[in-house]
Amino acid sequence: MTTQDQHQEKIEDRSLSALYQASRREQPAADLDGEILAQAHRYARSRRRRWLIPLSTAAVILLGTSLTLTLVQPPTEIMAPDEMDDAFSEELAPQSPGPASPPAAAPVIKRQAIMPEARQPAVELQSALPSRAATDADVSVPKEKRSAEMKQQRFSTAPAMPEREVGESIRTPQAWIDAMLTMLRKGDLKALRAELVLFRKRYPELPLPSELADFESQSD
Amino acid sequence: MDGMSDEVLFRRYRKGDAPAFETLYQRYRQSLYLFLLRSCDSSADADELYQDAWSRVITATKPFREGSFKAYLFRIARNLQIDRYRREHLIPVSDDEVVAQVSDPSPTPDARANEQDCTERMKRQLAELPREQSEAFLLKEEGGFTLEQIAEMVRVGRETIKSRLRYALKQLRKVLEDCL
Repeated sequence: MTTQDQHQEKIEDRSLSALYQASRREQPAADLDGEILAQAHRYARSRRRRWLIPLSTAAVILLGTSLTLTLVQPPTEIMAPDEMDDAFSEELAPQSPGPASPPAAAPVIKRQAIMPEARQPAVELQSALPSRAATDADVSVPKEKRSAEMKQQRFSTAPAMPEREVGESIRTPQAWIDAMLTMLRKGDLKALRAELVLFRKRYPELPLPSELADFESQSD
Repeated sequence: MDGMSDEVLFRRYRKGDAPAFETLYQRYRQSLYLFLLRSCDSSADADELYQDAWSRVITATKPFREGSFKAYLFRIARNLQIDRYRREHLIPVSDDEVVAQVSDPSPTPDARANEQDCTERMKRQLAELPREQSEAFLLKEEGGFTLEQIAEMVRVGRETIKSRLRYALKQLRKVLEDCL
């Protein structure tokens, strides 16, 4: 036995340890066990619930944020069809005399936003649209009737858009109709006829405003 | 779950896994109880401290920072026991104090004759040892801690713990010689 072993022996007495282990008979009472375990289960439940609170809070915040972002987007980007009609009608309605306002750019943007396909021809559409003065002078149909008519044409009976042909300029039916109306009013009948043929090729069923419909029937 | 370490079980319990606590409880149920029972003046005190110690573990808001779960559990129990001792005896207890004195444990010849059971004499003798010595002995026997672990828990030097243990064993051997 080394010196270290002898030293260890002084604090490691196996026979004493065995005697002590033999004396280990007492146990905590069963009701004490029960109380402690019941408390542990209660806390475990509350800890499980504690995870649910931040989780549900995060979900609510996420939902609320996305809803808020959706609702506060500027109206130029998202417009309901009715809003667009109103805006369009206002554009066509006679304006009170005053300083000349810039050309009708806003309605063009609005239509672009709701119909993504119309983005590209914005410039074309703008140039095709009559000036406000010309429009004001030519508008003879009452505002309400015109608005209802346009609405019916654009949203009630509009067929599904056919596949776009390669090289064909991209524009909405309404923009096309507007351009043709302008041609009619300017008396550019040859070009109008050609446009009507193209229009019918693409939108065979789409009703036209009365002016254009009359012209179309006369041409036939 | 029986194969899991104490620390993993405790982490799982803190996340709400009640069966993990039950496994931990079964592991230390008896040793912690006996540590307190042998350290306290009465079994009623031991019961109360035992429940308090487990309650502290159950309601712990932060994980223990250092050492093992077993050391954490016994440290809680020891602190509770010291607090009670201070309250009841109204005297300060210094952890750094090296108690070299050995109380005179020799029972009278009549008492010795009455103690038939060596284990009963062991318990009685343990209760008569100075608190620091019995504590070191119990932490070693019930907790299975090494000298270093006991020294860290009691916050005294390793040599101090060794000295306390040596005196405790010497005294127990002397009284229980015929049982060994």
